[in-house]
Amino acid sequence: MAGKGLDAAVLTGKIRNTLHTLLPLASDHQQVLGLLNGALLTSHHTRFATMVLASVKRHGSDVRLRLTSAGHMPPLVVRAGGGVEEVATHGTLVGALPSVTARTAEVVLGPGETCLLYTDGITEARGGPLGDELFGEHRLRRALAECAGMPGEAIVERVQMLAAQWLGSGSHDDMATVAIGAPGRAPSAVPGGQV
Amino acid sequence: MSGIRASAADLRDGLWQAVIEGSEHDAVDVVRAGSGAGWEEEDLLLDVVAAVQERIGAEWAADRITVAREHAATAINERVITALVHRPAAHRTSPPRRGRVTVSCVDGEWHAFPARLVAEVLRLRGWQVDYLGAQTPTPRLVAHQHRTSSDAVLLSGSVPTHLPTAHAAITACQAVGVSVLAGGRAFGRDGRYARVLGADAWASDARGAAAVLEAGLPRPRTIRQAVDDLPHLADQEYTTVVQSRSRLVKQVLTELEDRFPAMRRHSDAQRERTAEDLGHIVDFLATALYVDDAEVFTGFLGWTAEVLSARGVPVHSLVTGLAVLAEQVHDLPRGLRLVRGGAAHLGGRSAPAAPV
Repeated sequence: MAGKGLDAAVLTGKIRNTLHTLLPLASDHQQVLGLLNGALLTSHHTRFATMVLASVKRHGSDVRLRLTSAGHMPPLVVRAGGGVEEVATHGTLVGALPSVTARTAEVVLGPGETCLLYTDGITEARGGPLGDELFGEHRLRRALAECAGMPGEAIVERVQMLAAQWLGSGSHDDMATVAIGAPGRAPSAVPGGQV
Repeated sequence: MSGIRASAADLRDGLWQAVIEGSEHDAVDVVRAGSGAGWEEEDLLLDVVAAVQERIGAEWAADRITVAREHAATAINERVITALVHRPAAHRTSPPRRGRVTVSCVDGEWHAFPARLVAEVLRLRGWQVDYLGAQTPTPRLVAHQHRTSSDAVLLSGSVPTHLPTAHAAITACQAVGVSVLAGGRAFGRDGRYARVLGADAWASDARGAAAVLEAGLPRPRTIRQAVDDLPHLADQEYTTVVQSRSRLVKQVLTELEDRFPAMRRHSDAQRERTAEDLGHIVDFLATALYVDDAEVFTGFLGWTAEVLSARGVPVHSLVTGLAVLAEQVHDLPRGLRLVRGGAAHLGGRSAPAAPV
């Protein structure tokens, strides 16, 4: 959110309701973002938001994702071999400009692989042992590289823990993380989350 | 009980194998098989699941598994608990109905596993448990007491650096009339820090916690301030160290690099790792100042020395860091004593080594 407090909560509620209505159109993320943008612009809010739309589909042991960032940090994918890839999606934020341009990316997660969505409160956590450094994307990537093969909830917990410890007692922006994972060997688990 | 049920050691081995391979299904199968063969759920939780969790931590410390493995294994072990306690138990005898308690971790504490075990064991014994999980902000813990009027708060802490925060939580809960039972490694092997911080009771494990609650815990009588428990805080050394944490880390790091030019060639990642280690040292120094007990500090240093040795890092680097830190805290009598004592403690346990 680009703000805090009651106004931000109201805006989040409005976005959630609008997205819920637009759910049948989810096969076209750009159309959804365009309609959401229109709805936000016609209201009297002077606020805007960033988000990532994710459509998740199980395909055998793989999970197929369509991801569209609207002004948000691009999601990161943790591959089974320990590689960390940035998802090639980017776009403008919603609720500010007359139209939204965004690029949707498709990602396939193999068993044990995870896609992490996160807010900039994580990478902009200021602290560390010297007290005044940003956690930064390179530390996030380095942490994720150690997370190959971990279940989604363990990755979320580890990232939250590292960012919180980095921050120490300092104040911070929202630190939200969502992991979408393809289950490892075991057949029963469901994908770890959805936005 | 059947005479042919698997031994605890067999179940532990089976569960260990499954969690370390990341196989949730096999892990759940192990405990379900135990349960089917006549094991009580509480015994499975404490003698099998908890024991395996302890081994996970020990294997990480010894550098036999990576931190990622450790987290993955812990996540699977958590799911094992869930699978075990959510299973419809046809043979489970319904326990007597008891009171209501809150189980929570200290604010900042990420190790939720021990608290989760306690919560589940108490549920099995008939308590109504509100489990608030890891790193519960103290205001939220207190607000929860206003809403629920628990018979007791069970406060779990694993890392000693959270003891000052634990103290705030203990006094705040007692101020609203709720007794606090403290537990977890942070409070010391014999619970000495639970006593120092004025907790109403301490237990070394889940069975001990259940026994304390079953015996009945009186409501706290008097309202205290932090300084009533810890008069030594009046010297402000704890506050001074906490407030100058970043400065201390920076100064020691700079000083080390001045004295040991080889360190200047370290990569950024190595430098950051050293800074992190120094940060931990300062945090534990502050905690030792808070509870006025050297063992918090020497215990941490001993543990760190083991972790470093397991990773091929010589212990004398730690001693050198302490020597520089001692210069930085020379005007804090208690702090200086702790740092020197820490260096001596390490010196006593490691063979003389060549300088860096």
